[in-house]
Amino acid sequence: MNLTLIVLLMLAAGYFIGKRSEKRHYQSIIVREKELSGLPAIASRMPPEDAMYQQHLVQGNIVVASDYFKSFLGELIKLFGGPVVPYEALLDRGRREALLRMKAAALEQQAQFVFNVKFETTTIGEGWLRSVEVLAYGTALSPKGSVNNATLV
Amino acid sequence: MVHYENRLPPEGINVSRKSAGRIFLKLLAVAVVLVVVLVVVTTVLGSTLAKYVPFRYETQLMDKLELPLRDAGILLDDPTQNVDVTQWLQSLVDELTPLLPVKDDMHFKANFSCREDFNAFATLGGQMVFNRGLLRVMPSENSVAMVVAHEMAHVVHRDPIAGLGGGLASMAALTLVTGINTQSSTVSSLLRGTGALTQRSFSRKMEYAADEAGLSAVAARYGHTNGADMLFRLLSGAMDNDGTSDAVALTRRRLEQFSSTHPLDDSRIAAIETLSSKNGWSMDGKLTPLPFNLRQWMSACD
Amino acid sequence: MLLTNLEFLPDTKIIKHIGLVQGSSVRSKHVGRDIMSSFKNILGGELTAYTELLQDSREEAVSRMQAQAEAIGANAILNIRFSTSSIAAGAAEIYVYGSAVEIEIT
Repeated sequence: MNLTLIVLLMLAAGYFIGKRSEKRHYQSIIVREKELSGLPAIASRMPPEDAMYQQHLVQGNIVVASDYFKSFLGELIKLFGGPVVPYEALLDRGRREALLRMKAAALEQQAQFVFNVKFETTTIGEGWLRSVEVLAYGTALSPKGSVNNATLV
Repeated sequence: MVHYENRLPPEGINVSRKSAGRIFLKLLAVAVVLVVVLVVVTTVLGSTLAKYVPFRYETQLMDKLELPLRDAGILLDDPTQNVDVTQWLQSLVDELTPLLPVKDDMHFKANFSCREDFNAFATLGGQMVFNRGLLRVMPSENSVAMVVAHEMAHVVHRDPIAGLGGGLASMAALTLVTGINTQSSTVSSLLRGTGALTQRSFSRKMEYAADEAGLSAVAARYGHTNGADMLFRLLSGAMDNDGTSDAVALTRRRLEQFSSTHPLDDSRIAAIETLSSKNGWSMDGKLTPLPFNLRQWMSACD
Repeated sequence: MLLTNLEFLPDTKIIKHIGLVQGSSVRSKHVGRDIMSSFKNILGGELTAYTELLQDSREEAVSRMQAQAEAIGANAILNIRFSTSSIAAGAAEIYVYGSAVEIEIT
């Protein structure tokens, strides 16, 4: 009986607190994405050849924990198959946050672009202690000296 | 010159907009229903098939298991002790045997245990165990005969082997479903718990059937059913007289009925009354006293 | 929509790089398929149920990436990369990303 109560409490806490923190995280992601949209992150490996750039390897990472509700629902969905909805937002937040942190690192180098952006995803932990790590990395290009001919839209 | 910019795609492409709470409630309900269906189907299948196992295999299995189980102290007390109680119980069994629909190859063996808990049970191979804790509170032979006949009815109905077969089959099915890829122990224990509750409804049916067959044997043996409901009156009283208020005790008993193997005792008392009046068995009659030396025999345990 | 994992297109002019687009999909098979596959794991061989699962997942991820690219006005995605991670036992995530570009259509 007590165990059931603990499980119910953890489910409720995971649902309500997890939902609220996810909402806040998304709000902050959306704001920062707009702020940093002037710094393009590009998957391509071909940098512009019109100017001289300094190159820095930059990276951003984040470990996002799944909440108890999400893990429970994930296991439940696995019985039936189909899209595992609760993990979608978790991974999406991880990717976007990692990219933002990578961009912030690039901005510290006065970069104008980040090229060859790549992602790595790893899961950490088992069962309901599961979390996801996302790493975003790329090469930041900062103009050498003051000359800059690249066009920023 | 190539232009570079970073346009932001709209939200909601990589994340479904479905409500997680709604999915949760829906899947939970469906999962519970499916587990109930799975357990019902596998238990029926397992117990039906198990009843085809010849009774002599049960006996052979128990013969092989008896010594190891006795050595491990799990099964029964030493049969060389308490010979008097065991003999008396066995004589009740022998008197009741022709009054039950016993098949030719079936036989029964009564065992006495010094355990103090209020319990008696039948297991494979016609073996039955009666605890001291139960016998010491029984007021008459009629009451003991009802318990004995009830356990014998379980054997006649092949309930021990059916329970084993159904239990194994449904456990295997549940393990298969919950064991694969399930890392969260909470989800699997939730499903297992649902399965266990479902299974108990089967044993409740068996209890009612054993009550009915046992009662008819007792009526045939004594000519009346007086004292037959004593077991349940004692069970019900044991729960009322523990200092809790009536309302609390009632709620607790309702919960216990839901989760207990045995049906609520009051409803079994009522069932006995209904059966007696339906079959024209008198509920009044002279009670046969217990053997004079029963308490002394049982004191060999101490 | 042109999808490629090349850096550039030989005969086509790229007008604009308009951003990184991504698609992801997490899916699982129902427990019956999981049980059948676990038997298959004793004998070895292709787990067709999971081949199918990952392929469906990949298609969905690509179409989500395409939806993002269309929404920001791209007509091609270059340098597409796939990655697969197992978010939980029996559930796999397919992630795909690339550079959304506007190319000159001749």
